[in-house]
Amino acid sequence: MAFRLDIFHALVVQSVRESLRQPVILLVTTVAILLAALMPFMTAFQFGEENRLVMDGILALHFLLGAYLAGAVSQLGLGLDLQGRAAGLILCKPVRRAEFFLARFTGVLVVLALFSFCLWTAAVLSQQIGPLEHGEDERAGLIILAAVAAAHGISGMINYRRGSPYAEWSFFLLPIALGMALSFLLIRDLRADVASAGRVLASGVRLLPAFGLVYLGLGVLAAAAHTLAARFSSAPVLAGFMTLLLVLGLSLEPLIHEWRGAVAESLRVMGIAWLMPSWSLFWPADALYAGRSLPLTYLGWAALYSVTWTAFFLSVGTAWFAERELG
Amino acid sequence: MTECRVQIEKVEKTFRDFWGRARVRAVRGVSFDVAAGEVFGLLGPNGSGKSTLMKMMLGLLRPTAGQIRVLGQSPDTTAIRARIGYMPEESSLYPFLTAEETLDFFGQLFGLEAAERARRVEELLAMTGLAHARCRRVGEFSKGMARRVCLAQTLINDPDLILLDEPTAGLDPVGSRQVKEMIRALAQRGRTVILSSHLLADVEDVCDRIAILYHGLLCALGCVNDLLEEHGQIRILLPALDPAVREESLEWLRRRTGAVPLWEHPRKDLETVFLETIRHAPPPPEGASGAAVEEEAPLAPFLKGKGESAPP
Ligand SMILES: Nc1ncnc2c1ncn2[C@@H]1O[C@H](COP(=O)(O)OP(=O)(O)OP(=O)(O)O)[C@@H](O)[C@H]1O
Ligand SMILES: [Mg+2]
Repeated sequence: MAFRLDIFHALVVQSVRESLRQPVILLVTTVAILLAALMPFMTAFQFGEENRLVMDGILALHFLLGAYLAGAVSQLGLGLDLQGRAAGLILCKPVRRAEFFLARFTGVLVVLALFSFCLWTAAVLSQQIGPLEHGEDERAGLIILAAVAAAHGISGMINYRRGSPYAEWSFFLLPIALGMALSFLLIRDLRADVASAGRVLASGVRLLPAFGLVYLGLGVLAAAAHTLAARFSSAPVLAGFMTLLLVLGLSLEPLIHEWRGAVAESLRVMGIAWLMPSWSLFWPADALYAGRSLPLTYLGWAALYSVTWTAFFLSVGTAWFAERELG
Repeated sequence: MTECRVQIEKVEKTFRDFWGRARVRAVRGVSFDVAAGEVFGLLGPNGSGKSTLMKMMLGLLRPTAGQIRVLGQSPDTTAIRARIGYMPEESSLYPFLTAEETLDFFGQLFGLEAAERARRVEELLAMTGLAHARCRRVGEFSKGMARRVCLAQTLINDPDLILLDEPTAGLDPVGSRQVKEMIRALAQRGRTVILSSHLLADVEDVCDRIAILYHGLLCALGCVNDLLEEHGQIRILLPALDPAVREESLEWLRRRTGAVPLWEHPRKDLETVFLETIRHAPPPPEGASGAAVEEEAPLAPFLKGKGESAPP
């Protein structure tokens, strides 16, 4: 039987829908956006530092909460399917195991993409707030809060009226509301001060590759989580493995640096770096310093690295899943 | 006999531990065939290997030894699953989906067109008495309601071969009678049904042939009528007689046959009493939340096959 796009699509949609109806996913996303909005205030009060801390903080939120989401969505999706035996119910239909496994993974990527978009818009908006002591524009912060409140409020209303699932609607309305908030800011600035609107736009464009880079890293983590969920479907075990992987990937960076010092930039070092999962590769905060943007060639290499690792994890996962007995 | 729909030949299944050592021998050298249009029952105590056998027919588990052919092919063939319906013993559905979304999703997995899907979902919801609960999350359904959704998803592709693992477990007597009627109706229309059940009365009512498993071994195999009929005895049913006439007749029989005839008032079974009670119950109140109980369980028109579907 040939690959059927319509069946794959149905599996992906179901995967996204089922995870978005889990309240925990909405909770984490909302908290991430609110923290991003509050970041300028927190850093201003605590460190009295420049805008860079704000961006560092939001990117850290993006990466860490994104990693949590990657694990949670994989466990709540594939993990629960295997534990609750729904996987058997799907695989006794004309659906190949690899199709099911990859469709579920695509579902995780879609959820992470929506999450990343939310955080990117929140970051652009909170950039406009600026350090408080300069009294720049704390209204941008209010706009984020208003967007979040609107998304939750509207879905609450829809739920009250029509009984439609609250968590799913909120999650879909969040990026729309944040996107509208950003457009509102742009239009307002365009009327008053074209240069300021240009600044907002430029900051959005400058931040986009950085968030894209973190998203690539999250893709690798999601592939790892998904693969582990095919074998170890219980939440605590999966969480343990994911923490291990995260810590390993973060601690490898200094190691690589040391080697680099010893065997300056040799091909071997590059090879070793490529052979290890390293999360700091996806950490663009330094590159963003002082209004700079991320070089596109770097983004290209990171994408290649990410795709290689994602493909590696997914092939292991597909093989595991193909031989797994669904008893 | 017509063609075989399922052939099981010396099938073994051993579950192994982490180190590959044999842990449980769930099925041991079982062989039987199931013909087209037959209703075949798998019986056996808990843990005797009924569900394991069904999962092997679906390719969810792989036999350790022996061979299984389903619809003429190996169970690992993806394409043949388009012609199979499976109702697992646990109603493992997606708790956050509504009944309607659940059925629609499973319809999509068979590549059914949207309009056809909508029609089948509608008919199946009506058939299982869940039309009024279509927009409620399956996770909040009662056990029997979830069972009904599970049954409906089994039939969404109008399968040729239907595997039902304890289909009537958790259903109310009306529901289980409807399921039994449905199984008979489907078999009459040429579908093959394999079911497992602990409710022997249900098996007796619907199955043509049965297999009895014990500790993974096939202990008995044969036609239900042959297995149940006691050829050494007969029962005569009469309207209630006047005591004097009754004694006289018994005496005559005793003299003629030399045997001591027994008499008793036949009992209704509890199922009949229950069904009569429900039939005479007042109509359901506004906003009733359970499954609707219909006098007749209409077989969804799309399952009736060509020439028999409802008039337009
Ligand atoms: N995934 C598994 N791993 C290990 N052992 C298993 C697995 N699945 C089933 N078994 C074992 O195989 C045997 C048969 O199980 P099966 O579920 O087929 O029984 P059953 O006849 O369906 O029982 P029941 O009537 O309780 O549903 C049991 O001893 C069970 O413990
Ligand atoms: Mg069983």
